[in-house]
Amino acid sequence: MQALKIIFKSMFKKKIASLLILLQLTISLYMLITAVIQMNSTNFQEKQFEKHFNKDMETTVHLSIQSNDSSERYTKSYHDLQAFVNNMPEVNGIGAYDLTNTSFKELETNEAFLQLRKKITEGTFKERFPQALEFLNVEAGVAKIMELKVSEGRNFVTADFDRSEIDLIPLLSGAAYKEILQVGTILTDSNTNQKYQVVGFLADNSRWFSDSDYIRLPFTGLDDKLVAPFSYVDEDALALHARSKKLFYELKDAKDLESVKNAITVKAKALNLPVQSITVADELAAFKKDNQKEITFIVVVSSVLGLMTLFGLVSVMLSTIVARKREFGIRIMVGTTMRYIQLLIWGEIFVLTTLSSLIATLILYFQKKNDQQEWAGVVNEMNDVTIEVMLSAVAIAFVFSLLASFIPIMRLRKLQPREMVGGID
Amino acid sequence: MSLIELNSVSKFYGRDESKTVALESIQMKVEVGEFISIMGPSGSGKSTLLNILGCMDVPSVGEYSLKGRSLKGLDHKELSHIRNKVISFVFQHFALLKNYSVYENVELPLLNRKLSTKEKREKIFTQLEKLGINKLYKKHPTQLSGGQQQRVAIARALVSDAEIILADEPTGALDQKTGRELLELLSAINENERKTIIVVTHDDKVAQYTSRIISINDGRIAADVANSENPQDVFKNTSNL
Repeated sequence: MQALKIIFKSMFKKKIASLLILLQLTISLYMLITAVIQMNSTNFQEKQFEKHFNKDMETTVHLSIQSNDSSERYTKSYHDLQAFVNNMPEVNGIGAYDLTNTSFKELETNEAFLQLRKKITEGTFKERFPQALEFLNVEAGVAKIMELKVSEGRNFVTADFDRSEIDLIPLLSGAAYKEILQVGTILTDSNTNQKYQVVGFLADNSRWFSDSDYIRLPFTGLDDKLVAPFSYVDEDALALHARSKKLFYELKDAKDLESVKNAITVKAKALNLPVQSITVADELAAFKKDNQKEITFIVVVSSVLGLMTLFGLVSVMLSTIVARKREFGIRIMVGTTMRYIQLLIWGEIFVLTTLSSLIATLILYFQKKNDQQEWAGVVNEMNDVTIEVMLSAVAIAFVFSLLASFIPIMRLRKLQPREMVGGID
Repeated sequence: MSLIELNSVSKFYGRDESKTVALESIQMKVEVGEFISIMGPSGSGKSTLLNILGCMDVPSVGEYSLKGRSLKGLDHKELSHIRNKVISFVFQHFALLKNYSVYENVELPLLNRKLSTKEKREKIFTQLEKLGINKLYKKHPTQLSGGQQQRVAIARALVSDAEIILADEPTGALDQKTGRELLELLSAINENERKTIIVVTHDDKVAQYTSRIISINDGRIAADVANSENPQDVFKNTSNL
C-alpha cells in the first residue's frame, strides 16, 4: 500500500508526462491486444471446424453462384445445375441452407415459450421480437454433410426432403425448446400456414456454418433454432439467390475434385451461371493466410509504436531517477533498501503499463459489446475479449514493464547512497 | 565493548594513478552516550568518515564494528537495517522531502517497520511535541523556517529510537540564535536520552558543545581530545556560527 502511495505520488508529480505516456502505451497495447484477438479468431475458427464439422474438408466443396439474375430462367438454371451435380457419380449430394425468421401460431401466446425466448435474446435487438424463431432451412445434400445428431426422436431421412409426398414438413428442434415442444408437436407458420411437425430434438451444442460467411464468422449455435427442409414458398428466384452462396456438395473422393469442378463449370456456363468451386479446406487456408497478413501488419505497427513508447518510458523514468535522486537518498538514509527503491521504479512503470493495458482491454471490451448488440452475438463469440486475451494483456504489460525498467534500474544501481543525499558532499 | 570501533579504516576512491585517499588508517572508539565532534577543513575526510559511520559507505580497508559486531561483508539489506534501527542522520540542509508533510517526513523511518497506524501516530506526535513542532505536522518543509525544518529532521532522527545520531554541519544553514538553540537541543538529547551524537563540523564554536573533539586532516586523525569548555561561553561575543 505504502509503495503504491509513493508510486502514485510520483506519477502525480509529473502528471502531464505520465498522461502522455499512458496515452501512448494505451494505443500500443490496444494494437497488440487486437493482434492477440485476431490470432485467437484464427485459432477459434480452426477449432470450430475440428469440433463441429464432421466431414472431410478436402471433399466438401463450396459451390458459389455469382448471379444477379432474378428471372424464372435463373430458378430453372439453378435447379438444373443442382440436379446435374446431384447425378454426378463422383458426388455424394448437393444442397444449400438458409437461416430465416418465422413465428408459429401455436407459440405466439405460449407464455413459457415467450419467457424462454426473452431470456435467449436478452441484450440483442431480437429481444423486441421474442416470438420470432430462427429457422434453418436445409436441402437434402447439405443435411447429409451436416450430420446432425439428435438426442430425442429421429433424424431426417431422405423422404423428408421429397415435398411431393408430405404435407407436414418434419422439423428438428434445438435443445433449448425441450420443455416447450414435444416429438409430434405440430406448428403452423404464421405467414404461410405451412404446417411442421417436430420429429426430434438436436443434441446439445449442435452447430452449423454461419448464415453470413461460414469461413470468417463463428458457427451458428442451433440450440435455440429449428431445422427443417425448405418449403414450397422458398423456391422463387429471390430465395434461391439467398442460398446460392451457401451451396455445398460432397465428393466421394478428393482426387475427383478437378474433374468435377471442370464439369460443373462447363455445365454452369451452358446454363449462364457464373460459378466457383472451392473446398472448405482451401477456403479455410485462404482465411488463415489473409488473417495472418493482417496480424503481421498489426504486430509490426504495434511493435514499432511499442518500441517508441518504450524509449519514451525509459527516458521519462531516467529523468525521474535524476529528479528523485535526493528523495531516494533520503529514503536509503532512513533504512529503505535499494531493492525497495528499485521496486518503486519498476512499480511505477508497471502501474503505467497495467493501467494502459486495462484501458485498452476495456475499450476493446466495450467495442466488442457494441458489435455483439449490432450482430446479435454472432461476431462477439469469435472476437471476444476472453480470459486468455486479458491474461495476454497482463503478460504484455509485465514484459513491457521489465523491458522499460531495465535501463533505469541499471542507472539507479550505479548511484551510491552517499552521493544521493544532497546533504552529504 | 565500545559502541563504535574503527580499526585501521581507510577509504580510497579511484584506481592506480587516479587513486585518491580519503581516509587513512583511522583508529577510533566511541562509547555509548558520547557527544563527539569531528572537525577538519574541507576535503579533510570528515564527511567520508561520517558516511562510513552511518553505513552509507563501506571502508576500502580495515574493520568497522558496531556494538561489538563487525560490519565487514554485510549486504545492502543488512546495512539498511542498521540505518533504520541503530543510526539516524541530521544534515546541514535538513534532507526533508519537499512534497511530504512534516508528519510524513517524520514517518519515513517507520515505513520500514511493522507498526499499526495508531502506534506510528503516537511515536511521531511524541517527538513532534518534544520538539515543539506538533502544530506544524500538516505543513510542508517549504512553509517552515530553517530552525523548524531542522527540528523536523531531528524529530525524524529520534522517532526511529536509534542509539546513534550523526549530524553533518547541523547548524550550517541556520542563524546564530537558531543554531545555538539546536546545539542546546542536541546536548539535551544527549544528556537526557543517552543518545550517542557525532557532529561533523568545521566550526570551533559548534565543537565546543561536544565532550570530545576529533580533528581530521588529510584523511588522518590529527587529534582526539576531551573538551571541558563550557559551551555557554563559546557564544559570548560571537556574531556567527
